[in-house]
Amino acid sequence: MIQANQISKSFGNRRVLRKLDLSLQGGEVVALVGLNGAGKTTLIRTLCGLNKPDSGSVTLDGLSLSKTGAGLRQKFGVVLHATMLYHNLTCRENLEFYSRLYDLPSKNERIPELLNLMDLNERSQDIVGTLSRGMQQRLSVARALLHDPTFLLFDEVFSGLDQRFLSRIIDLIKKQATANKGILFSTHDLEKVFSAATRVDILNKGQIAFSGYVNELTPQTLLAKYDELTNGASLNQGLLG
Amino acid sequence: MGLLSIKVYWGDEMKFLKATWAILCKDLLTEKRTFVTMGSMLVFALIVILIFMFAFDLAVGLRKEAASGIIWVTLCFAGTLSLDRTMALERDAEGIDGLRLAPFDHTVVFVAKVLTNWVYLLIIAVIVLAAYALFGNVMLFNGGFFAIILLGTFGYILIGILVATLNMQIKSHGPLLSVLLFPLLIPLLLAAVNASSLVLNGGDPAGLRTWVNVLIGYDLLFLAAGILLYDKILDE
Repeated sequence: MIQANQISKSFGNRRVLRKLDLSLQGGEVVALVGLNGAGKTTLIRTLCGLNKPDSGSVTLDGLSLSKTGAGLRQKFGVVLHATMLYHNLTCRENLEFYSRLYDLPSKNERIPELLNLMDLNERSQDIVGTLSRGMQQRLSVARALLHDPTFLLFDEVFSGLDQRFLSRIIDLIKKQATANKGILFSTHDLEKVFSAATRVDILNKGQIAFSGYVNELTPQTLLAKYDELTNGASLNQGLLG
Repeated sequence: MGLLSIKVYWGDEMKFLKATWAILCKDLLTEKRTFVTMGSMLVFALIVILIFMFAFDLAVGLRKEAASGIIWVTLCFAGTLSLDRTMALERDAEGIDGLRLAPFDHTVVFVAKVLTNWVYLLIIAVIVLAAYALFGNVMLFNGGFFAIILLGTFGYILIGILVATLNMQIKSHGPLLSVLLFPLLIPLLLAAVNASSLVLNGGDPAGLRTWVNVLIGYDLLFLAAGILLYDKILDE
């Protein structure tokens, strides 16, 4: 389980996270929603150790992320706005590079499997810089899944994807959850919340201002709560609107 | 039990070497494909050599005496292009986050980047020596001088990678690299230029030993600093 305990994070004078508590267990899918600048990206970066909290701690299965060895990082698969891909290498070379970093013994089976999953087999020898944003995003998801991590942290993973791959990523999230993986994804889209998540957390003013199980909520109650917390800002309602 | 299931990669030499080799190969493959770093270093180095050769129009004897200074000025400035580019490669699309998330001590990144940039600088050094011989009619290929170049460029790259990473981490893509780097390089460059001059032109062996010891000491100091501090520098 990932546990964030009273974490605070500031950039200069701007406090982004304020004594925030959050947990993510295996098999759980948490949708993180909030206004632009609410701190969703900072929270995700802090949960996986890319940002250090100014105070508080993040633990993984009871072990402190900042104090325990680098091996803990193997448990995270992370997709951020930036793809972490090398634009002068091909799709396959990027995945091979990351599989070597993670010392994967089964890379010869794993890489084609993931390229196939993301429908990038035909573009596997293409230089990443020549791919569209959506394709790069799909390759970034493949990169994050490569080492079969226990926790998946996705920041705006749906951006740039067409409808076919939106559905595929949602199916992937559900499948990973049934394999007892913990998934947290940030989104502005109500439809994604209700189609993929088991829990929704609203991040506002640096704290989890609301947390609720999706099966206990309706789109209307969630929207009302979101509007109340954000002074009238509204979630993209997608097909639910 | 969770702790037992976690592999601590730092203690595993093979995994350390494999990860280092992976980063090294990735950088060399990118360079082979783009030729951006080596290309810019090469053009810059050749222009500097040509300017020195033709602007000063020195006699052969003077060219040999001036060689150590000219060679080190050329390598020093050409090296900054490599240092800047090596971190730009990681900055683009935040590849550095991918490295920071990988399950090994960040010292792997330091070692890989030092080796890559050292290879680049040594190749440029050989070309610069050849260009100096060609345009200046002065043969500089000798074992002693090359040993000084090995020591000097190694120290240069050790310091350079630390500073270039620091520069990347503070999100400064401007002139800060040079501002931070060159003051730190002064003792190293003094030692390298003096040792090179003594090797090429002959001189007091005790003096040469002193400058070589300074070079070795500086290399060891910054190698230790890199191993101890790089993890912290690459962390936020």
